[in-house]
Amino acid sequence: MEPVIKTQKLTKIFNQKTIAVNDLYLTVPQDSIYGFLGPNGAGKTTTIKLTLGLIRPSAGSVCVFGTPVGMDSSEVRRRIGYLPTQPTFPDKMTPITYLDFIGKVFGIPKEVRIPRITELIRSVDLLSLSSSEIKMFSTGEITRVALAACLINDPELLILDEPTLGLDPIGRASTVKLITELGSRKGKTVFVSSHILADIERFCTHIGIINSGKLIFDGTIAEIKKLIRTNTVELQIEGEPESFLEKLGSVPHITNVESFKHVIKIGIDDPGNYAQTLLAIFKALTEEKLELISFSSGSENLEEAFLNLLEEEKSHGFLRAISQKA
Amino acid sequence: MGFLEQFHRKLRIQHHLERNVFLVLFSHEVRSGFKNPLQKTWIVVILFFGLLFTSGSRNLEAVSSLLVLFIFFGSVVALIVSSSSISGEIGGIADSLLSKSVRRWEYLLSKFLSQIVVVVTVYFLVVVLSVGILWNFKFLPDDLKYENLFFVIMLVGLVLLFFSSCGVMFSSIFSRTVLSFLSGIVVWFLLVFLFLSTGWEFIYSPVEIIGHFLQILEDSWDIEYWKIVLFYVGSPFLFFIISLVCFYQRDL
Repeated sequence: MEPVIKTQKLTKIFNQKTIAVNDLYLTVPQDSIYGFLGPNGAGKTTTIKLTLGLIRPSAGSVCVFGTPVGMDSSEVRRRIGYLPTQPTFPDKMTPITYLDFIGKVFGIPKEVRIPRITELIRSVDLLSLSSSEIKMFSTGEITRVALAACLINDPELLILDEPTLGLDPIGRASTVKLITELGSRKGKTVFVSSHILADIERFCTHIGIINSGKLIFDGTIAEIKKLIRTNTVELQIEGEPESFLEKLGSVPHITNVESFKHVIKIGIDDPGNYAQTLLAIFKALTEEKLELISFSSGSENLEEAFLNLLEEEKSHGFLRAISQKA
Repeated sequence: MGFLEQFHRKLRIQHHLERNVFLVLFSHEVRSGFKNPLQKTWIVVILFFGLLFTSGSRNLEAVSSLLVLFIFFGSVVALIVSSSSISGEIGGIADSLLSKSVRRWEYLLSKFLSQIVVVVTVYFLVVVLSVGILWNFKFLPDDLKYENLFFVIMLVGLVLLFFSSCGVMFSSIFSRTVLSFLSGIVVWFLLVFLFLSTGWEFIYSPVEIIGHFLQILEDSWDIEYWKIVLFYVGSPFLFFIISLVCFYQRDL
């Protein structure tokens, strides 16, 4: 299956001074929810703008739906919905007039446009505000209008640049829900950039990590978790843990046990013994009649993976560059 | 053709108009142009002065004063409004539109034409209203050659068209509205003070058009008019081409 977005050697240097994107090879598979992660200033928005043809690459190319993207690739953009980080709207427009205007820009006939506007306004929960001026809206409401606008052309590819930025927990949850719902529809690919790892972890199937304009990881969520698997499990228990800790000492394959208050960290020698050792740990826990409050496998923390990769990139980036040249 | 058929045909026209990206942008820009607070204030001010001059002078002097007002203030208003037309939208509405199925030339052309249409519409409405009142109350001289009067009015209209398109051009070149406005003002000063020139170029100054108002009406100003017309008609085309070249090089 042809990837929806494919970049090759993509490079952008601003004013011959700042390297925003550096030799980027990105592949976004069809029907995926691709999370594009990176710290601030890593080159996420620049990559998105290059993908949309809003800025010209200094070198390399971007293909969307198999077609090279340029400044006038309106036919490609017709199939894309784009939500910018901070959406802006023309003055004195209401959600209805704005969506109608954007619908006309996409050349959607009236008989399709009007029902779609109504449906979108309902789905982003803006019915009560549909006749109010957008200028007066809160950040969350503005994001919802912009989200409706980028869905008006029923796009096959949805590009969302930091969609949850500045939203309160309720707004964030509803946006995440909407993205998950959209991504689950057949024929839809969602490309979402963010630095909020919890969101990415919640709805993405694939992930790309960019740092200083360079892609340092590209794969599935499972792949990144495998990459950082620490063979450590963490238990939080209720009750006195002394005898449980003693029992753990006799369980084979456990390398070390650390206990702090009610949190116990257990190291396992090899990934192959993971399941077998876990069974023994839980058996000991049941025998001691302790209550398990929480359990984490040590490979669940995407934030840790992200930071590890960034750190690794910092220390090995130079060596990698030298070896690539050689 | 029956009423229903006519109605249906009209609907099809509407249908096509709504599906043409350039026309959609153009009509949106024209509507926004008239909603601009500065433009609204200018319309009120110029209508006030138009009626004041017309009821005060009750002769051709009223038209002449109105043209002076448009040359010196109308052109600056046109510059202010058009200077922010693109630079004020970069990183915001421009990005939003150009990330959709809008081509850069469509966006640019809609900006040029809408700015020109708004400025020129206000101008012609006020001037024609003033001339109409004077003609209605027979305040205009009997021997007045109306074709010459409308020729002067058209020349001043071309001056406004020039400054309006000049503002849009600078707006597409510079990222900051202040810079595009200042560049426009420099051109305004150069052109206005061109009348001080002793060479052939003085005829291109708008001040010359006003200064020879009566001579143009009497056909006694001995110059080649086609040069002025070509200058003011050709320049907006040139501005558009420069804009196009610059805008296609530009990162949003």
